[in-house]
Amino acid sequence: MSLVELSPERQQLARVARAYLAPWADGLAASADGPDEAAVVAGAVALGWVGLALPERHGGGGGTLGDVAALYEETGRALCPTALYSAVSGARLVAAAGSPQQRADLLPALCTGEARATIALAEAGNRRPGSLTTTVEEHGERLEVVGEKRFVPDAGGASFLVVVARRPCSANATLVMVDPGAEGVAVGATGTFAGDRQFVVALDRVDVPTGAVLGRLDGGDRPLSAVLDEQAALQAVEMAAGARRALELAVEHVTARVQFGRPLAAFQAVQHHVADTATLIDAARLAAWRAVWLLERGAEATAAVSVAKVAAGRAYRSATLTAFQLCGGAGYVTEHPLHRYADRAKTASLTAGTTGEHLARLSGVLGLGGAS
Amino acid sequence: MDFDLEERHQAWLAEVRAFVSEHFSADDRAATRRGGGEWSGPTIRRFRADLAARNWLAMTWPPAEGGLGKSMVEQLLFMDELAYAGAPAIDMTASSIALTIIGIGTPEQKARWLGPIRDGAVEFAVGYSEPDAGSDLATLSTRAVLDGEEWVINGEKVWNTGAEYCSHEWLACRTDPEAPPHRGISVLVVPLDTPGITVRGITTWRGMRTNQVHFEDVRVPADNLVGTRHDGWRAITRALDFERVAIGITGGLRRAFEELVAHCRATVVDGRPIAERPDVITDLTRLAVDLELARLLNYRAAAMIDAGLVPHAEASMTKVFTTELHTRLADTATDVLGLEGQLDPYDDGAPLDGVPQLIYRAAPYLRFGGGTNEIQRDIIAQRGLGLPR
Repeated sequence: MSLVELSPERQQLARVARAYLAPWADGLAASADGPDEAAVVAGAVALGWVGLALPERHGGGGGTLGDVAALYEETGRALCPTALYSAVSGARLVAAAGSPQQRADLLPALCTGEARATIALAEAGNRRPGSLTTTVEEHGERLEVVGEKRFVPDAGGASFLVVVARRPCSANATLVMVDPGAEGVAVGATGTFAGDRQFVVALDRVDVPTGAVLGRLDGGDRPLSAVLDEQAALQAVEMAAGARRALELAVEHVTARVQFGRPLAAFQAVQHHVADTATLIDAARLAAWRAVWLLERGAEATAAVSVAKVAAGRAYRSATLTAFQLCGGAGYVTEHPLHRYADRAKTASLTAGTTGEHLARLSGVLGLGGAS
Repeated sequence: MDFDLEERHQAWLAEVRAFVSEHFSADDRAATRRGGGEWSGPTIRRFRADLAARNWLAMTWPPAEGGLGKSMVEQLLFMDELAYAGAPAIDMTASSIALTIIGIGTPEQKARWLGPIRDGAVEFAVGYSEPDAGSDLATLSTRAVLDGEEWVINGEKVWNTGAEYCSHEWLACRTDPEAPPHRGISVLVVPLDTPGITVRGITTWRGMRTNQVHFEDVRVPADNLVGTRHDGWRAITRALDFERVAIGITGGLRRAFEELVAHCRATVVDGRPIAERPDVITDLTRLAVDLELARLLNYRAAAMIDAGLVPHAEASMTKVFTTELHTRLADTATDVLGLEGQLDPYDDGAPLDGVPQLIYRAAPYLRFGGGTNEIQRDIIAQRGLGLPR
């Protein structure tokens, strides 16, 4: 029984990750000179982080989802550039959906960072795999992909996109690998307030070989939903860790700042803000790890993943907004790193399933609502 | 982090469930509920005797002290299951005070008190709070003065729940009036039938009885002191540790929630099941999230005790989160039930046997009792995050 702490191996993994990310974390304030974002991600990939839980025979580390979660506690704490996360999810989808040959061909390069995959899922007005309108049609030995994807993370730096599409004759998703430089593909930046790299990808009659289908035609639903659940659970771990760091920043401030002759931290009103936030964060962390733990062993985790994602979003937003209140003007300026955590709290709440989307999914598990 | 507590304790859970279904029937459940939280009725007496017969009152005591040596998580699984079934829990006498006696008592004290507690013959009413000493308990003023071989006790205790049926008082009193507040307190065991004790019942909002207990020249033998003289503060705070974990138990809330969902699916109002109302879907789903979080915080605190850690902040987190969830859940549930939400357990038409309104009216006590939630938040901030006292 250990709801209490990580295993010694995972603690060691976390220590290495924290040490590697320290220079980046120190550079989070706008006034600081930190390392280059691309260099940090490249270094992380070189450390084996993308392939951490992929099979060793394909160049991965042979770890488990919980090992990735231990890593994400540190990336969340340090606000590691999100390009790492899209690369991990892209590689995990290749591993989950690809044929044995595709896995052998593609995973080694994804693990070393020579190649990078990212998932292209969302569309204007469509979020869930079941309602997507991007199509893939067979023309002899070739396939044609038509549609427009939104909020594709890091499409700019990707070697290929895993586009979630559908054959007109099928209700099931087909995963198609598309080179962002191919003819008919237009990649445009999206203006997100947090400045992380998300793109609009227009697919105008893009011609790809049949070998570009990841796994089988119409076979994308299962691996995709598995990887999306993993992504949501891992992101919840990352978010709880970021929330914890934001609260620590606030505690540092109220401990040092003296008003009315005593530290702000000595005021009960301040302490109670801190206590409530800490409770939400601890609860979110436990829920996130529970989801990871269930997924890791292949158990039913739909409800646990949604609970985790909802709880992590609430904890992270609450932690950052409370931290603004506790730090006052000192935390509200971009010279202080807090605003970066506040950005991530909101954008992470909106990605990998919003609070409302996860609540809707959970209500179905509970048997509430109409057709469920 | 592992979360296989249910799995690893499958056999234990099965044993507990079989016991509960055999010894606590639906009629027992209804009787307990209608008793309005009265912990001394014949149903509860009989159930406690059944527990004692299996030595389950002493399940977490070390085998050397006559217990079963079970872990805190095992005890929590057990108490969670009892709460889910609507059965009375192991009370503080066996789950907390006995462990305090084991921790700080002399061999003579252990020999004298543990056996009767294990058998259910000794049950303590906890005499801590006083009219002028609540959250600031160390300022308590009930006095005990040694007169030859006897303590002579004078003073007043409040919120003395159970004093009308318990056998003994676990009494915190001042034995050294010259010492600083925390250093001059001792704990005495006082038989409640000792001359000079007056128990006056007080009825609370929820209908539960508590008491004000007056001590006037009450005499007990000198060796009824537990632990070390003037060092009773340690005994008091130790006994409160597991109590906060016990208050954080979620079994009763989970049962109420599950029954509420079933009711909403089965009940048609204005032409459609309640479970299809968008506001109901959202409200209940949010509660489901919080119930799971409450459960995890609760087990985490127990797991820390098993790991040899003292869950100061973590026990406070489970106490605060669960007790405040009581109000949120019951407030939503009574509203979802609509006009029927006001029916009490004596009304045969009461959905969920009137439980949501019972929880609604019991919850304030949980929030301010057992150390107010404001005190708990102080503990979380100070012990958990290092903010100054």
